[in-house]
Amino acid sequence: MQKDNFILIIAIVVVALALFNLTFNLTKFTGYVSDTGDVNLTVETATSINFSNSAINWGAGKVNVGETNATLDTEGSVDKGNWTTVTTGLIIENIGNINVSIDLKTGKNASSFIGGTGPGYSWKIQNNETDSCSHNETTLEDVYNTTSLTDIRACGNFSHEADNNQIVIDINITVPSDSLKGARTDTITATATASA
Amino acid sequence: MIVKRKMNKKKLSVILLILALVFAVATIVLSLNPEYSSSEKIESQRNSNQGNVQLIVEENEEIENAKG
Repeated sequence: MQKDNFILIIAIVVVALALFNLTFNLTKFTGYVSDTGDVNLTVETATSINFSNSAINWGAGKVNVGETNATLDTEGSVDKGNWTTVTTGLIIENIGNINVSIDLKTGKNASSFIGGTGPGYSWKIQNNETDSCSHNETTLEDVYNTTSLTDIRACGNFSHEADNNQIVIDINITVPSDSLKGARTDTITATATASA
Repeated sequence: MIVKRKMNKKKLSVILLILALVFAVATIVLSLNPEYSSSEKIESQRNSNQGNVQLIVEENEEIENAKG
């Protein structure tokens, strides 16, 4: 008799636990447990970035006679050289419908891109539209840092909202007088990853 | 009478345990169904794009003359 009661109590407890577990899972996954009608649709997320300015070109030039190097940047400065000034960096636009993080890498380092004695190849990230990058999680923000051949976080949360979805990558290079000559090119790859 | 009550308790226990089993199976099925799975909501998406940096470095006349 006592054994039957014990089994019955255990059974009731097990049912209660199973029912609680089922209810908890339904609530967790759907957020709804009430008996109401639902209208459902799925809005898919699209992760997409675009370089609205995809090329920086200083044209042809040389280090001034008697100087050991020239410095060029995308903020309108050409120092100790006669290259054409460039006033705009690479502009990345978040054209998707979700905030993303941005990682950057270059195809070459200063030695393979420019060559010579003491070449420089650095970059920095700035908002091209207000509040486009809400937190950078990086040292690239507003300060030139040496470029990287492997992905480095440029922006932790890049907004997709219109009028707040552009960042600019400014480039600064130092061309030594004994640098590699001829056409020098490099490719910068930006990778966007959807924020959770 | 006592035997009948004992049987009823046993039956009730078996029914309740079956019910618990049904709930447990339903929970597992819900977890496996992608429509209810939370893993779909945290889907990672990536997209890459490229920009170019270029310049032409000419030979300095001073160096050219020295070479000449």
